[in-house]
Amino acid sequence: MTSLIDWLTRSRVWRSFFRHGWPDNARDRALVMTTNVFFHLHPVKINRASLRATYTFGLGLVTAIAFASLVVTGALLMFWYAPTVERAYPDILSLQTAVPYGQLLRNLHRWGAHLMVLTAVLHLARVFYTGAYKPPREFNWVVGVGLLALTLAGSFTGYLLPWDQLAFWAVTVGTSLASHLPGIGADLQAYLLGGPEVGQAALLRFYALHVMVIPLALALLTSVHFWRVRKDGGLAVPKIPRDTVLAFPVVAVIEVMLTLAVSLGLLLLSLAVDAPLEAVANPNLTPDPSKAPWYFVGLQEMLEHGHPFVMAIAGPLLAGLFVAAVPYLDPAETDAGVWFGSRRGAWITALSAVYTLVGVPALVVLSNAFPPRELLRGQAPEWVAQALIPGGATVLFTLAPLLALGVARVRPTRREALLVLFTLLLVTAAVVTVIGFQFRGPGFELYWPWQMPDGYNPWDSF
Amino acid sequence: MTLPPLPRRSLSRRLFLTLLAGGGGTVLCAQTTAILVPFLRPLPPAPEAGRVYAGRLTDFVVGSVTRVLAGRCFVVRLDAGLLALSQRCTHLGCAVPWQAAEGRFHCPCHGSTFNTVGEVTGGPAPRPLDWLPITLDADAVWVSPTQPQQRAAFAPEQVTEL
Ligand code: HEM
Ligand code: FES
Repeated sequence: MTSLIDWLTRSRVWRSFFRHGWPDNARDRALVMTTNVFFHLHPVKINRASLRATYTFGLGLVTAIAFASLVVTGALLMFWYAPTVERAYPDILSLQTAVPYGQLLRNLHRWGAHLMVLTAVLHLARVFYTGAYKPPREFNWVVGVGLLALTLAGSFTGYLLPWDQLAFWAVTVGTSLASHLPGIGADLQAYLLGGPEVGQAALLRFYALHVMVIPLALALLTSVHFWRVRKDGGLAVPKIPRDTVLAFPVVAVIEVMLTLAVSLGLLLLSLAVDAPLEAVANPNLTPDPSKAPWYFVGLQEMLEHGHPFVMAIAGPLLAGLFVAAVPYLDPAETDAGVWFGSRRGAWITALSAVYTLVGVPALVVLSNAFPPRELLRGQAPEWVAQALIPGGATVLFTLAPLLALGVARVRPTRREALLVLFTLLLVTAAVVTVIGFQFRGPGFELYWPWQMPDGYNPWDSF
Repeated sequence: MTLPPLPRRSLSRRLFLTLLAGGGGTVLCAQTTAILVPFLRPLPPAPEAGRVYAGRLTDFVVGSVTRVLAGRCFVVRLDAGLLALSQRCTHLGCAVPWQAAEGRFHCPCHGSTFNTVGEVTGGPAPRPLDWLPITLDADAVWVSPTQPQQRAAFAPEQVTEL
């Protein structure tokens, strides 16, 4: 065996491929990392703490793996799909019924996209709660926020391509949000759609964005992201006790195993559950209810409670700016890489989560039972009912926990104040998403999930 | 080790090249933007899409609301004349059907309701349904769905008098 390896690694062919010997000794294990293009993003030695599964949960890596799988399945789908109003829907139908493994590939692409959105959000939460955004990693956090935005844009543009009722109306509703931006709204929507409404021009634009522009931008930004992780000294883990191991082959094994696990999970899911496809798009008939894709249905829920500009543009924009600004609001380097920073931080986070879990459904039910818009119609100007009341309620609801901390004479650190606000934002997003997805039925009215009328099941269009 | 100071001449050459590269880069970016904005601007609708045949005058009896599928709109026959309403909800663009039983337009997406002249009577819609210009050609009624007119309220001049 050893002589075989010796013969192999000394051969001219091996030495032309690899600039290192068989990696069974420290020197060659280090050389793998520095001389191989696929490995050179890894350090030679790695901190043991950053390999702990309960520190990162591998979420960034799973997101990257999901992206890679989307590139592969997406490229294959392109062989059978033409982005025209006449052919898009029939192409998807024949992909599902006539092309061997066509349905499977479509399922893989669909579930892969859902997975990528989900793990990108969870990864963001992980990085936040471990304080891994602290110096010198501020900028990489901002890059991460950009990656999340691109991930959502990729999912949204892909959503239109099957050209079924689901796609057509979700995109109609989604892009109409842009039209409520004061001044430039209508132009912005027209630029996105290539015309006044969703049609051939919109399909072509979304296709170009989906298969070219967004994946390229994602690949570029992901490279920057990884490079920065490396240059910022690996993951943010407490530096003492310093306990490093050679990164090869541990890191490679983890990466291969996770790739296999994600592939297997996606494959099993795709064998079990088919991606939805409804009737062909019909611009004259809006299905009831018409919902945005699940990661935007929370926005649609917010829209029920106020003016589109306040609830779906100004609010989310502020929230996005806040998230991007997190590392600049809490620049202290202390306790980076520690979940919640301290026991007190963990308590504050848990209390904020409970407060939001109870408060947001209560607000939704309240606003549904006594809608200011209808109660004040014709009695007060629209901006009072649609902007001042819902906006004011949201601001009060957000600031109340901080006031409560003040009253209780807990002087929160900057990190703890951020823990409150971020948890509020994250849990609110989760709660309104669940309400919009699971508790809204025909007419976008509130229903208990087990009492949905007309046999409506939101999972049919997931 | 400290380097000897660079001679003045080569420094100014470096400065010149830096400015040239920086200035050139700025010009390139500006020019790219100036090209991209008009390049990506949607084209105006084709002229033949400008008018859609809605029916003959006698088809519209007073009080009726008629759907014109090809024009994505409704033609409402009021006492005074004809009013064409876009079917596109002013909230988020869903197609609003006329509910004869309710006597109003009722949007399936977030429940906005509109009366026969398109004014909001309930729900989140921020303004009345857009109206569309109508042209009469002898007794043929044509609507122009590509020219939706936004409005804050119903006004008589939106009606084509008969
Ligand atoms: C396409 C989406 C994304 C991909 C593919 C991705 C990938 C990764 C990977 C593989 C890592 C290293 C392992 C890990 O920490 O789990 C990482 C780290 C990191 N990511 Fe992301 N990520 C994405 C989105 C985001 C988002 C949304 C944020 C936050 C706004 C973010 C911020 C960070 C930061 C600051 C680090 C360094 C973490 C540390 O030092 O512990 N990333 N990312
Ligand atoms: S789109 Fe009609 S009510 Fe929202």
